[in-house]
Parts: sequence; C-alpha cells; structure tokens
Amino acid sequence: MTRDEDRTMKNYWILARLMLKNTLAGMNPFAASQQAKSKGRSALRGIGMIAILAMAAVSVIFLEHEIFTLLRDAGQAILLPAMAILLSMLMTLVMGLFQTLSELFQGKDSPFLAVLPLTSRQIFAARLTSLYVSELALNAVIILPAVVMYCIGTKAVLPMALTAIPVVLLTPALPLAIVALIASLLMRISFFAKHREAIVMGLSVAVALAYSIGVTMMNASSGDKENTVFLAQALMRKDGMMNMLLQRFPPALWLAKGLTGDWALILLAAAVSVGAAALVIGLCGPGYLAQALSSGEKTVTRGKRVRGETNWRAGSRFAALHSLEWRELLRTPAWAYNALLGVVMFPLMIGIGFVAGFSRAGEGLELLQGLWKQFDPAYVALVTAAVMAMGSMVNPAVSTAISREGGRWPFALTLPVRQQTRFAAKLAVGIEINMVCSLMVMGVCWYLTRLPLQWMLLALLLAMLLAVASAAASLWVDALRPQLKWNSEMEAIKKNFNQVFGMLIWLAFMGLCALPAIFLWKHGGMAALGGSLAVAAVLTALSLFLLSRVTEKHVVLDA
Amino acid sequence: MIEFIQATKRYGRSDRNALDHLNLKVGDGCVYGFLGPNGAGKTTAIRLLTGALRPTEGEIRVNGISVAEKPIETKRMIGFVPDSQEMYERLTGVEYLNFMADIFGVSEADRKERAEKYLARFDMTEAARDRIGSYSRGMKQKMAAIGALIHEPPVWVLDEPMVGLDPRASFLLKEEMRARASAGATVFFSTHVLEVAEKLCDRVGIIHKGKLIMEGTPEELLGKTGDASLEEVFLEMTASSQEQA
Repeated sequence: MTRDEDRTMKNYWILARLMLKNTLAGMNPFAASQQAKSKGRSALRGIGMIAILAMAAVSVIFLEHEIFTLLRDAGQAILLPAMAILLSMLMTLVMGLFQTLSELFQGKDSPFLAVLPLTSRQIFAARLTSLYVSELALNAVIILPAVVMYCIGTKAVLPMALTAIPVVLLTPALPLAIVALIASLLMRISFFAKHREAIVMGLSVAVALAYSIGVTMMNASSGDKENTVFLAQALMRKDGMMNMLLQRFPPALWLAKGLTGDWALILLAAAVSVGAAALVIGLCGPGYLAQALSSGEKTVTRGKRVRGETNWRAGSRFAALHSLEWRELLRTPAWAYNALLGVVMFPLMIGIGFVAGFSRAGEGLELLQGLWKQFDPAYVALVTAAVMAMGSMVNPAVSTAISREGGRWPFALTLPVRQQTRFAAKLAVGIEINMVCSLMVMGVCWYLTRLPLQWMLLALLLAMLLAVASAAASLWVDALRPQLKWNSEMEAIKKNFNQVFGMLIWLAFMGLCALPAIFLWKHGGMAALGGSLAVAAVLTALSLFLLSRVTEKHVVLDA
Repeated sequence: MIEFIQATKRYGRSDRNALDHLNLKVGDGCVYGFLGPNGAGKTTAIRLLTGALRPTEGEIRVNGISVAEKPIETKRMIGFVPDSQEMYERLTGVEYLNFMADIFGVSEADRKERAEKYLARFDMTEAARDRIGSYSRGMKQKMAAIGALIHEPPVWVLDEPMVGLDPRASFLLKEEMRARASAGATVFFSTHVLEVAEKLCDRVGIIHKGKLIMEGTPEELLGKTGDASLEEVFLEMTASSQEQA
C-alpha cells in the first residue's frame, strides 16, 4: 500500500467512525436529549423507547412464530429465514431509497465536509458505511428471530449460528449498493432539470408505487384467499410469490441456502456484495460531492417565482397558519412524500387488491357484492369504518407537526398567536389528509359492498372520529415533547419517535372502539355501531380537551 | 417601554443562572444596545422579552404589561428579528410578509403600502418574489427585518441584526432603527459590533455571565472607565468580571 493509499484509507476510517458514532448516538434511547434534561427524564424516555421497540420486536416474533409453525408442519421450516432475508432485502431496496437519497444528498454537513482535505469518494464511502449500519440494525430485527426459531426448531444451533453471522452482515450490502446507484442516477438525471426536487421525488414515488402495486397484484393473483392456505401457497408453491421473488433476485437465494451450511454460496454472495459496493463507490464516488452540494443549492434556488401582480390579500390568523402548514408540507419533498404517500397508496392497494383478486374469479365481484347483503348493514358499516380508519394509522403530517418546525420554533413562539390557534391549524391539515384518504377508501368500499348511503356515512363518521381523536392525541404528544433538533428534513419526519407514539395511540383507540362492538353485538348491529360511535366521540372529546390544555406555558422553550 | 424586573432564567436543573436578576428599563424613543461576550445571556434575555422563554424568577414588562400574564398582547407590540437563519425557506418573500401581516392583523391597504415601502428601502422588491431559501444570509436578515416592521411595532427587538449584512444593508438598517426610535418606538438590540453600538445607541448595557455589569449612555461608560472607546470598556469590564468570578 502506497503512502497516498494509506492516507486515503485513514481519512475514510476517521470520517466513517465519526458518522457511525453519530448514527449510533441517534439509536441510543438513553442519550440525553433537548427535551430530557435530567438523568431521570432521560432514563424514562429511554425506557419508553425500549418498550416501543420491544413491542415492535414482539410483534415481529409473534408473526414469524405463526409462519414458522405453519412451515414446520409442512416440513419447510427453512423457508422462514429465507423469507426474512428476502423481506429485509426488499425493504432496503424500496424503503431504503428515500433514506439513501436523504442521507447522501440532503445532509447539511456537505458544505462543511467539502472544505476538509477529503476526497469525494471518501465522503461517499463513509456515508454509505453509516447507511449500511442503519440498514443492518433494521434487518437484524427481522432476520435474527427467524434464524433463532429455525435453530431451536431444527436443533441445528451451532452450524446455523456460524452461518447466520455472515448472512446477516451481507443481507443489506447488495441492496444498499443498488439503491445508492439508483439514488446517484436519479440525482444525475435531474441535474439540469428546473424542478429537480420534484423530479427526484416523483421518480422515487413511482418506484415505491410500482413495487407496492406489484406485490399487491401478486397477492391478489395467488388464488385462495383463506389466510393460512394463502400464506402457505405464497411461501411454498413453486409458482408462489416467494419462489418467484427468490428466482428473480438470486443473492437472496444464495444467502438463504447459505444459512443451511453452503459456504460456497455465502462466499459467492460476499464476493458479489463487496464487488457491487466497490463498483458503486468507484462509479458514483468521484462526482458525488459536486452533486450533493448542487443539490443543496438547487433545492432552494429553483423555487417558484410569483408571476404577475403581487397579491396582498388579508386573511385570518388561522388561515395564515393553515396555509403555511400546507405550503411547507407540499413544498418539502421529504415531508410531502411521507405525509401524503399513504393517501394515494392505501386506497390504491385496497382497490387493486380486491378488484384484481375478484376479477380473476369472473363473477366473483358480483358474488362479493351479493355476499355483503346477507349481513347486517351495521356490521358491514363497522368493517368499512375499520378499513377507512386504517388510513389514519400513520399520519406523520400531524404526529411530527411541531417537531418539523425545528430551528424556527423559537421564532414561531414569539408570534402573537394562541397555542390553540396554532394547534388547530396543524390539526386541520392532518384531518384533511385523513379525510381525503377516507373518502377514497369509502369509494372503493362502496364499489365492493354497495352499502346504502346512510350506512356508508355512519361508517365515515366513525372513521373520521377515530382519525380526529388519534390526530389530536398525536399532536398533543408532539407538542409536549417535540424533537426540534434535526439535520435533514427526512430526519425530522422519519427518525421521529413521536410518529411511533401516534401509531400506538391509533392502535389503542381502535381497540377501545372495537370493544363495544364486540360486547354489544348480541343486542344487534345498531347497538354495536352506536357503542363504537359513542366511544369514538368520547375519545375525540378527550383528545381535543388534552390538546386545548397545552398552552403557552407548556410549549415555551426549555420551560 | 421595556422593563426587566429581577429577571432570572435557569435552564433545567442547572445551578447556574443564564440570566441573573436583571434589572433594566428602556424608555420610548431609545435605541438600546445590549452587549456581551458569547454565552453571556443576551439571547436568553431577548427570548424572555419576546415570550419564547418564561423567567424562573422576576418579571418582564412591555409598555407596562407583563409578558408572563398577557403574552399575546405583549407579542403584538413587538417586532422581532431573530439571529437565526432558520426561516420559512419554502415561502416566497411576499408569502412570508403576507403571513406576518395576517398574524399581526394588518389590513390589506396597510400591508401593501408598508411592504412596498420597506421592500424598496432594503432593495428587496425583486427578490420578494423568490423563495426565501434562495436568499443570501444578508437578504434573509433584511426580509426578517421587513417582516418585523410590517405591523409598525412600538417595540422593535433585534438579535445580532448586523451579522451577514453588507455595508449598504447595515447602513440602511441602522437608519431604520434610528427612524423608528425618532418616531417614538423602543429599539432593543444585541450586538458584538461595538462600533455600531457606540455610534448608534442612546444607551448601552454590558452583560457578562448573566449579570448586567455596566449600563448607561456610551459617553457615561467612557467617562466611568476613562477608556477611549467602547471596545476598551467592553474588554476591561468583561475581563475584570472574569477575574472577580
């Protein structure tokens, strides 16, 4: 190794170590935060976050255990770790694209790094390493329980433990290299475009949509819909979804087979992964920094210029804050994508899933429409409301509304606006998003069930009450503990635990609304629906009351 | 008029006061310069004044009204120019000014007249149609100043307003500060630029480690210490305060 090469590696390691420290600090639930000044509060916050992570892990383990039981009984237990590997790779490939775009091209530290004696390739490689560690942590949560279950179930603990280590380490490598290449290409393609951000985000959304629609259509076209039989078919049949995906993406197959002790395939996967990473760093590294810097410049300079006569029309304080909230949300691609994609994706997936599935059966759709008529319309309305309410489960527009203010929050607090007005404007945006989603889902549900309008409206009312309740409660959490310190717009919305709290609140509210439906069912469908509506109304009133109690004294800085 | 009465701020469980029993009165028509080294407590004092922070002890009043008791009312009387570069970058300048005018309840005719006047005065008429994200630091500072003037406030508070401004913009801002004071408004600003404070301010306060260590007109300060410039006064006072600590 020459002296220059030695220096190159040294600089890379210094930078990669710094970025890794930053990444790991972000993952540490006990790290002191702006909101948790004292050790006690830091510990409480840490315990809360660990509890959330534990719940997520338990859900994964529970789901994997169910699948494992099914597969073991069919003598195909190895398909569980294979499925986990495949799922992890797909997650990195699709969901990792936005994370990669954000980390590589929207980092606020690019101008700082540009003046240090570092090459563009070193910076690119260091960022990729940091991304790799994040993806590895996520993949491990999915793969490790599957491997442990398989080891215990098959009593092949030691050999599996040895092969599991390289397999887990290799799983995110190749997908990440592919994603980094796509991200760099997207940035390069859009380099001379006027609306660069919109193009990059549009293409990224198109990739995510194509993936989701593809998977939904594959689900829909796989025949029997009865849960376990369908899952078994999807996983085990030669023409099932998993085999199709494994055949189309051989590295996943190599790693899955490698788990059983085929070291040659593990080495092959390692060679391909390392080679791909080296190739991507070699190809994209040299021009990376210029792209990252120009990205920072162009995202702001390519803004829209007001044409014609300047409009000085006056409006109310609420209207000003409401309009500001929408403008910020729509004009910041990372926020627009995260907050609005679900509105499009969820109704689309339901529509495609049902329509494609039943259209294959010829008269299946008519059969389904007829089938619903045999049930109590109150029951159908309850099911429809539950499906509609699903769209409001994840609503980052409202659950991160205060956090997204970031460094502007101290200034926002100096404006002469009551907190209730400020919160009402933010809440209205969240509810409007839910409303659009619910109405679209309502259209699909009406097409499938032909439920009379009055029942459909009752279902919409229940779904909207749930949406308002969970949105108000999520905003309340974000107002009390906003995550104001973030380095990129993606980080503000994506790495924000308040979004997870929002989801948990939704789950709890959904459960509470389901209780009267279960217990009052024996008194008739109307009683069940009425009970759910009453609980939803109480939850809405309670959430709005809590939010209205958050006044200036709670939201001032470091109070 | 601005009054700090025994105003104290302690963050979290820290045993050190970021602002320590500050007593200060700034009258109408006065340009007041608040000086101090980094971390002295200038921004904390300004955040208490603008209602972004609550005091641990003491009280702050704007035109006789307590900030803690009637925050919305006092905020309406203040026009605030923050030092931070964090602005609503996705808005155009015009959208930002309309937003500020709506928040402060400025009528359509008034906002048009004032916005056009101040935009022209700060050479921002053309740029106002662009997104704020495309502005330089100085342009953002000018837009923030125009936004704070759109309701012609009786109290104008500026946190490090000269940072990033070119000589012409700096001159225009100083002229505006003087004009506002001449019209009877209170102008309160923090700065590191001692020459600006010496030439522009009617009164100056030097804060160090949360305590007001000296206060008066620039001439009084020079007379008390026998120094030739405010820079020498500042260095001497902050050094002697350091030794005493």
